[in-house]
Amino acid sequence: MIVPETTAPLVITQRLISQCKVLAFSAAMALSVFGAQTTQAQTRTEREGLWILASGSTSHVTRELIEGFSTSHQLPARPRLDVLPTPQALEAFCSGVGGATPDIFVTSRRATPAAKEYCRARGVTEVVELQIGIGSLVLAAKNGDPLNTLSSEEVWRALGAEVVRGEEFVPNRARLWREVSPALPNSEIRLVTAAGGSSRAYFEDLVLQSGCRHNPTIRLIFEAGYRRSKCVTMRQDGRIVERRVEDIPGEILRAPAGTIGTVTLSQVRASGGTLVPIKLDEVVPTNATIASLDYLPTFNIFLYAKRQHSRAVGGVGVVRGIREFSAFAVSEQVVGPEGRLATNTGVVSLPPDDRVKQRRAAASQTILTR
Amino acid sequence: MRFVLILATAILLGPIAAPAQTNNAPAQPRTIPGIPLQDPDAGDSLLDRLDRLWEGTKGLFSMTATINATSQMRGGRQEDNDFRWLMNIAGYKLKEIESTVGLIPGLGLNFAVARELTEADRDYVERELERHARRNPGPISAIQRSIVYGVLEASDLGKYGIEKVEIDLLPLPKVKILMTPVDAPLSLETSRVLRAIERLNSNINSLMPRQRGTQLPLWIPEDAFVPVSAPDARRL
Repeated sequence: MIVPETTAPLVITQRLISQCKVLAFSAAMALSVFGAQTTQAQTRTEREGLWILASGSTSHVTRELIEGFSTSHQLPARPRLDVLPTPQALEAFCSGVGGATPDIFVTSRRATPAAKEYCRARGVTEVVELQIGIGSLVLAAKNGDPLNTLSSEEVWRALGAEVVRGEEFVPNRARLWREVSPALPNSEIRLVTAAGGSSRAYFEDLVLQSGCRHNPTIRLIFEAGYRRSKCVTMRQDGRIVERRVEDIPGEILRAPAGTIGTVTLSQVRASGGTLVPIKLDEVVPTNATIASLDYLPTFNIFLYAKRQHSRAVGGVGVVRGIREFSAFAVSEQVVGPEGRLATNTGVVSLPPDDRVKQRRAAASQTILTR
Repeated sequence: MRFVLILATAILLGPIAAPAQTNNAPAQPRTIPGIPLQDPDAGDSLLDRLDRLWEGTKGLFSMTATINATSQMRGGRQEDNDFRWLMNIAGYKLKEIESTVGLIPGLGLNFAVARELTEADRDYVERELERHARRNPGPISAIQRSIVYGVLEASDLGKYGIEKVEIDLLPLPKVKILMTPVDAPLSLETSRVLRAIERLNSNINSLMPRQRGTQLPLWIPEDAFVPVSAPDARRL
C-alpha cells in the first residue's frame, strides 16, 4: 500500500490507535477472564445444595417449596430436607454457622425470645424471618351427618378423659353428643384422628386446649404441664380411632353417624363434597375466615433463613441459593391466592399487604430483631 | 307591708294588661323581663381537667368495662378492646387497683401472675394480639398490645420469672415489671418450712426399710416433727 508522505503521520497515528484498541481489548479480555476467575473464587462454597429443616407440621409445605424451587431454578444439587420435631429442629438450626449446619428452617411456631437468644449465643446472629401463609385444622363429618356445628368446648367435653363436675375432675362417661349438649344430635361420640405427629399436636393445641382454656376450674391450675394434661388427655374407651393422616377421610366416610375427623382444608376440598367441614365456634372454615383470623384453629407458617450463610467470608461462602429460595417462598406464584401452596397444600394466603411486606423482607433480607 | 307592695304592683301592672283584654287588637308578643340565663360553668379549671384526664385514662384500659351477655363472645372471649382480658389470657390477673386522690391524682393497676402458659397458650395470645391489631389499629390499642407483648416476652426468659406487673396510669404512665430469679434465695419463713418438710421426708424414708413389704403407716412418728420455738411458731 502506497501512502503519500503527507498523510504518513496520520496513518501511523491511526495504526497506533488501532493497535492501542487491540491492546485495550486484549487487556479488557484478560481482565474479564481474571475477574471471572476472581468471582469464581469468591463464590466457592462449602456445600452445593441447600440444607432445609422442617417441623412435622410444615413438612408437606416445605416439600412443595423444594419441588417448585428445583423445577424453576438451575441447582447444582437438590436441597436436602430433614423433618424433625420443632425443638430439635430449632436446636439444629441454631447450633452454629457454617457448612455443617442447616440454612433454612420452616416451622409453624414463631421463634420465641428465648429461641432467638439461644441462636445468638451460638453465633447465629443474622436470621431472616418470613411469614409464608396460614395453615388450619378442620373438623369434618361426612355429608348429610346432622352433626355439623360444634364449639371447641363441646369437643373437649366429649373427648376429654375427664370432665369437670362442680370443682372436681371425674371420668368422662358421655356416650352420645346429646349428653354433652342438648342441641347436639343423638349419635355416638366418635373421633378419627392422627396417631401422632403434627396433625394430632394441632388438634390438641388448637381445639382441645382452646376448649378447656376458659373453664373456671381449669383456669385455677397454675402449673402449665398439669393444666395441659387435663386438657389434652383423651378418653381411652375406644371412641378415639387413630389412623394415618391420609387415611382419615376414608375412615370418616365408612364410620357411623356422629363421627368427626381431623383433616386439612385441602382434604375436605379433595373429597369432592363427600366430607363437609364442621362449623367450629360458629365459624365455617373458608379461605376468608382463616385469612381474617375469625376461624380459630389456625397457625402461621414461618421460614427462617441464615443470612450469614449467603455471604462469602475470605472468598468462601456456605451455599448458594438462600436468597433465591427465600424470594421464591414468598413470591406470588407460590403464596398468592392461586399459588402453588394454596392449590397443593391448602395453605391460605396472607392479606395482599402482608404478602408485599414479606416480599420486601425477602428482597432486602431483613434481619430478625424482635 | 307585703300587702302594700302586692297592691302597688297590681296597680302598676293593671293598666298595662287591661288594654290587651278589652281591645281585640292582634296579640303582641309579651316582653316580660326575665332573669338572664347564666353562662355555662367554666370547665377548664384545674380540677375539671384532672377529672377529665382521670376518666379518659381509666377508659384507656377499660377499667370500668363490665362483662355482660352481649360482650361475651365465643369461648368466653370478651370484647377485644379489653386490656384486662388480654392480660388475663397472657396469664396475669388484676390483683389491685391503686387510686390516690389529691392535687395530682394517682392511678395504678397491679397484675399478678395467675398461671403459667403452655406453648399453645402462648400461640393463642399471639394470635389474639394479631387479631386485636387488625381490629383496633389505634395508638391506644397499640400501647395495650405492646404492654402485653412485653410481659409475654419477659415471661419467656428462662432464668427469671415475673412476679408482678404494675401499670401506673397517673400521674405519668409507667409499666413496672417485677422479675425475680428462678433460683432466688428463699425467705426465712419459706426456707424453714422447706427444711421441716425435708426432715419429715427423710424421717419417713428412714422408716421405710424397716417396714419393707408393708404399707406406709398412717401415723407419723413423733421424732419427725422438729421442735419450733415460740417466735418461729408465730412466724409460721
